Order: sequence, then structure tokens, then C-alpha cells
Amino acid sequence: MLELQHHCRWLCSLIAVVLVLTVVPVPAAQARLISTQALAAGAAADAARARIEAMLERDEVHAQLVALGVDPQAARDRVAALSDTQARALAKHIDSMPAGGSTLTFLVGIGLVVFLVLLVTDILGFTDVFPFVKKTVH
Amino acid sequence: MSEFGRTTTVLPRPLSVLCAGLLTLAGCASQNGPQSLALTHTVPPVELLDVPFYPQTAYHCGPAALAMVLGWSGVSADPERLGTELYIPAKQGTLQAELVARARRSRRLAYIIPPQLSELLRELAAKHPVLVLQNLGLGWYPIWHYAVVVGVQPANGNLVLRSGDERRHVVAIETFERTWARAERWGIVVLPPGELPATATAARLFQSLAELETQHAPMTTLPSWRAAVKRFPKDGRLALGLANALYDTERLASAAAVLKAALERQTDRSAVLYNNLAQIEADRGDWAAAEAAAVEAVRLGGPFVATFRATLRTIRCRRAGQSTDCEPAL
Repeated sequence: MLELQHHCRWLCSLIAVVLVLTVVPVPAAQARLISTQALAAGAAADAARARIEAMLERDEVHAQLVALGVDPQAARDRVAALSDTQARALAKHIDSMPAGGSTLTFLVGIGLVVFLVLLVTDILGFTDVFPFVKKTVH
Repeated sequence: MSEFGRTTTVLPRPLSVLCAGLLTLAGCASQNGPQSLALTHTVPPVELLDVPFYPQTAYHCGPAALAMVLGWSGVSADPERLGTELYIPAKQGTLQAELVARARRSRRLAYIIPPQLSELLRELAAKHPVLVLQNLGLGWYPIWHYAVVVGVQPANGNLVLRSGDERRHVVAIETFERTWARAERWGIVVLPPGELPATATAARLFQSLAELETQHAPMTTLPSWRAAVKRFPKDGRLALGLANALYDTERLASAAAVLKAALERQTDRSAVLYNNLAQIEADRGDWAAAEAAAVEAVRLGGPFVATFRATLRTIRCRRAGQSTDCEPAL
């Protein structure tokens, strides 16, 4: 069901892009300053397209944040703080992105084997999980 | 390092055999070997004592680390509040992109450093603390963690981190290098207006400042644009950024002077600079200078040439005395 919603969202986005790109006429070039943001985005036509895509991607990121347990209103502010590039990256890869959390609380409930492996790799200096393993002379 | 040998010999023999087996399974012995450590002997010792420390609470190491670098940069930040703003419940942590975005909201330039130990050490040498993402665990069992690198002790090969609930977590550079490499060596510096990253390139600096400007008035970015043009005098984009920020704060004469000086230095992207100079000279009423600059922009061409032509057309039209109806009909 969730997957269906996901597909629908992308289909709607696609339709919106096609509509906007075909219905909205491209205005004739106007005399103006080339803005810093326009130069950052590249040529004018690309920039307009990128903007529309970025708007849709922001909706996508908002939906994903809410699905991950973030309050909808807070998610709106958080999405607004992202740059277009970041919104694009998050829309595509938020599931696989690392989220820095804690160091030790994770240990509750995991097996002794993992604990031992990490203990030994800590001692050998491959990992840095346990503060009580001293690897260097201070 | 001397403790290294002692610790391993204490392990009972069967256990060490088991562990060796597990290590082979994990493949960690061969993974992501440390980058050249020779360079650490050439850097001066640094410890940035003015970086505040906030112990992390529960899963909030990202907000705590961000509060530390923000505090260092002159923004007092409450880690608890940042925690509620940045935490993602289902992921039990904080995303890198959101840390960068949050620093930007506090009017700070957040710059991702190049993924190399030598670059991290360059930032430290410039007295900039570096917020890093580490995978303290293993590739197949990641334990993501944010910390702030505040010092290097080249003599004993250690780094000093504000990490977790330790104000001074002293860690061997080899160990840090492994945990950092598992997080693709991601690190940012968070800098106050006018201060530039030691590792900045003109292109990425331009992008970062342009992104910062989408959320704040140009007054915020002006000092950084100035510093950027000073450091990269041959870069046309940075000159344009500075001129536009001056223009947006109603300093037309300064904006025109910046563009002229840049064009004299023969920066790249001169066509765009000519176009903007033409607009500014027109605003100042110097029609001859405006037309000359617009002609030059059209001659040089490029991806914005349609705009350059429109600029030239409008300037000629206005110069001929028709103050209205100079814009093409939409």
C-alpha cells in the first residue's frame, strides 16, 4: 500500500513536470543582471527546469521525513532549509544515508559475538567504539 | 603503541584465534588502509581550546557536534533544541545534509572539506575545528557517529576530538583514519562571515556562498565574497557574486568598481561580468559605458547570450530617449 502511494507520488510529479514544461511558455529573454544563483545553476532554461524538479523533490523529501517519524510542520521547515542539491540527494537516497546517532546505546540487545568482534577490532585500532579500550599511551 | 602489544598478549589463546577468524571474515584488515601518515609529522601541533564542549545525550551526537562548531563560530546554540530540530526518529540519528542546512540557517558558511586526512589537517592548522562523520563500527555493522576534531599531536601521532561524552577524546591517527574512511571521509568546517576554509576551491566556494545567499540577505555573505575575491582574484564567478551582493545592498558604484577591476584582471566568465556591468552603468545613468559593456558581452556570447542581447537592445532603446516600451513583449 505504501509502495503504491510512493509510485503514485512519482507519477503525479511526472505529470506535473510535463504539464508545466509544455503549457507554460518560455518567456523571451529579458534585459537583466545575471544573478549569482542563475550562474550557479547554469544556463537559463536548465535553471527553470531544475527549479520545478527541485520543488517536486522537496515534496518527496517532506513525505519521507514524515514517514520516518518527523512532525509534518517541522518537516516543512527542515525541507525549506535544504539547498536544491541537498533536496535532490535526499529525495533519491534518504533510505541509504547514514544518520549519526549514539555510540553505546545500540549495544542493548545485540549478540555477544558482535560485542567481541568490536572489542577486538577496537583493541587493534580498526574501530573506536568503546571508550574503555585504550589504544594509545596518553 | 606499546600498549598495543601488551593488550593482545593478555587475550587467551582460543579467543585470539576466534578473533583472528572473525577479522578475516570482516575483511577489515585489508579495508581502506590509512592514507599516508608521513605528512602528520610535518604539521604543527594544534589544540583549539576555544571550541566549547556539549556532551551528547541519547542519540544526539550530531546536534551536540553542531552546537560545538556553531559556538566556536560565534553563534550560541542549544544542543537540546538542535536535537529536537534535527533528529529523525526512525533513523535514530541526524543526516549530514541537515547539519549543513542548519549551520547555513545560522548564517554560517558550512563547507564540506575534500575527503583527505591532509586536508583535515590543513583546516586544523588554520585553527578551524572540523565536524566529522565516523563509522566507529564496521562496514557490515555501522555505528555512525559525529564528532569534532579540535587538535593534532604530531609527536605521538594522535588527534584530539570532542566526542560523545568526552571533552578530550585522544585517538591514534591510524584508528581515526579507519573510522573516518568508513564514512567516506566526510567533514565540514562551519565558519563566521568573512572567514574562508583553508581548503576552499573557487568553484565550491562559489556554490556554497550562492546557497547561503538563497536564505539570507546579501549583508550576510558580503564579507565572505570580499575575502573570496581577494583569495581567488582570477575567478569571474566570485567577482560576480561580490558585485551582485553590493548591487543588492544599493552600493552601485562599488559594484561597478568590482566588475571593472575583475575585467582588468582578465578573469574567466567575462561576458557575464560585462552584462552586469552594463546593467549597473545603465542604472547609474552612464549610457555610453553601459552600451560599450553590453556590446562586449554580446560579442563574447556564451550560454546567457539571449539575455546579453536583450540587455544591449534595452540600453540602446533607452539611450535613444524612449524610457518606456523598451522591454520585448512577453
